[in-house]
Amino acid sequence: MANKPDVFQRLIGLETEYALWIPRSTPPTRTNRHALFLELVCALSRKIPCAAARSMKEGVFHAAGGAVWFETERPAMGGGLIEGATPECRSPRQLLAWQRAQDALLAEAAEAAFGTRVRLLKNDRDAEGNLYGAQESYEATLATGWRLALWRVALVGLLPLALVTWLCLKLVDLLVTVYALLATAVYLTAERWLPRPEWLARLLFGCSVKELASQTPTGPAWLESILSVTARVVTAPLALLLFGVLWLTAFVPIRRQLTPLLVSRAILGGSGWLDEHGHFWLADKAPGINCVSGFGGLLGDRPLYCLGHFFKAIYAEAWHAPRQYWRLWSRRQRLQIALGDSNLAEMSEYLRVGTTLLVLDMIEAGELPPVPPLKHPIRALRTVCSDPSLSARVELAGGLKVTALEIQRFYLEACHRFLSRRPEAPAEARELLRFWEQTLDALSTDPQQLVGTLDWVTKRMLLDRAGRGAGWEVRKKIDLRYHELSADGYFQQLRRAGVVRGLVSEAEIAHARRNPPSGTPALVRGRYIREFATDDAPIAVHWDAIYLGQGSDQRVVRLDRLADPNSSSAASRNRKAASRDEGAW
Amino acid sequence: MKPTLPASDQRIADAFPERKETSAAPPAVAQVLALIRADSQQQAREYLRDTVVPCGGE
Repeated sequence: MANKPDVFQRLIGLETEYALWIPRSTPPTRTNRHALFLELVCALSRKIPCAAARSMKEGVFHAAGGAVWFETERPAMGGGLIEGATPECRSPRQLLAWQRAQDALLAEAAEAAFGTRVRLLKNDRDAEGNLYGAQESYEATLATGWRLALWRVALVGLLPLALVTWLCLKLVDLLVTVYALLATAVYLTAERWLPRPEWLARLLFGCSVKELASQTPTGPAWLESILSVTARVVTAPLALLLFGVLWLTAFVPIRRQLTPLLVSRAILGGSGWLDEHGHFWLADKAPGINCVSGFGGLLGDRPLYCLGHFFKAIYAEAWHAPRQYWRLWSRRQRLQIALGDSNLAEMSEYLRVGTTLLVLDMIEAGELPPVPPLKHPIRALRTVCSDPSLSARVELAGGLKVTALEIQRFYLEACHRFLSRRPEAPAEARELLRFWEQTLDALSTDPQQLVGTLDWVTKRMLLDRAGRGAGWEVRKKIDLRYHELSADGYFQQLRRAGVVRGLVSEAEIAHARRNPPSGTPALVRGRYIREFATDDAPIAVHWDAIYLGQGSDQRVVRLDRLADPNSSSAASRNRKAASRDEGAW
Repeated sequence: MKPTLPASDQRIADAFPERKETSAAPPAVAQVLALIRADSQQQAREYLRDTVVPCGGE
């Protein structure tokens, strides 16, 4: 076992939904979020070659291997988010560098596209309590033995229901098209008789006729609400059945052994949050989490483990790209963790991802000592996050009560033993342990030492020193503007003031802005985009494939074969690709 | 002459001895704090309103 390379070998990645600051003085025609996304992508493609994504979602991949998406969320209500996804990485330090590069690229693209008109915020919750933010993905074993067999049987068994669901959604699409035609006919007929037909246009189309031509039409809000409810009703049978199967089969040992770590890691990776009563919490997103596993919003759930990507793959993606369905057959899948804040402080981000990654390695190696489960994980999460003194205790299943620091130390000690049996483990893993231990020591003695190192400590310092005695709005603005990525953001100002502790160098970030990470599928993706993005032949990109050309001349380059560095053929391909990459810049 | 910091800001500077030598750092922290303190209730209210994300995300 000791000779098997099982530390920092899996693929990992981060997705970040960015909020936008759009002053109310901006003309309504310039606040459409989809139009802003297109402007941002246009500016981004002037900085780095980009290629259109071939996916359900609208977006582009860029030559550094990552992607930028438009998350459509109730557009008629003004929703929609810009989401950045890092390329696949293999170590927390690599991931940190590419996340920093993504933040910088998007912030600069926003400045080039909008000037000071629109700015990006990297946070998880606005002043009205709407949640968005970060998600982590880790390649992991979905199941083994009877659970894997049950999962595969269920995949086949659910296929007819998935087909019916897809057909129903297509029918809804068709009805929307019929509605658009009918609404147009009604409006054209009625406008001759009505002295002021604008109200009818707003009722039928959700905007004036003039706006229809100048921005992406969204449809009226009432129709959007009906469609939203209809989609939930249509997909509910499949969603509920699939959730039942996933609950029984997916990542069961991981969910059992990892949950106490995730609940307690807010003391490291929380970015701080000021609630509506002025109370300070360690984490921004955690207080909004309402279940351990779920689909992420489909059924009103805000889960710790998000399984929504399985649902999307089955009910929608598979019909556009059948290969997506067969990929679900694989034993290795994407474990998505929705509990985690969008960090500005590098150490917070590094420890949040790094400790999770190392504990996952330990769980999959079967070397984590028995973990006493939490009696009420969601209640425990709120208890931990609502106590900046770090003294609150949460109850384990056996009745014992422990602090978040004690839970963290349990995992830390286990990781020490795990790595002591692996002299060949990467040096970064030992460095991670050292940072983890130092940080827990500092939190135990005097958290103030960690100003500029951890987000929640830094934000709390700002609230205490600059917001003392001020009204809630002023203090809440500190909470939010801490996360602004422009030079005026409070964290960015602290960085310039020399208070912030960095982990990755400017040279590493500069490299990550232009190049994909080595030893990953992103390496090949990035190289193809750089080669073909400006070519006449169309290129479309997905996470696991590149499509060159069209029709019968189309060539497909598969990237998923690079996923496992432990297979000898993949290792050989990785080495060849990596050696080619060294000369790229 | 080295500028004198308020006690609270001195504590931040003490936590980062390697940064203390850069003359810009500690006063710059005080400047950041002063800038934040200068925010009015009205400006803050507008900022909160202008950063709302309708409907949230995934």
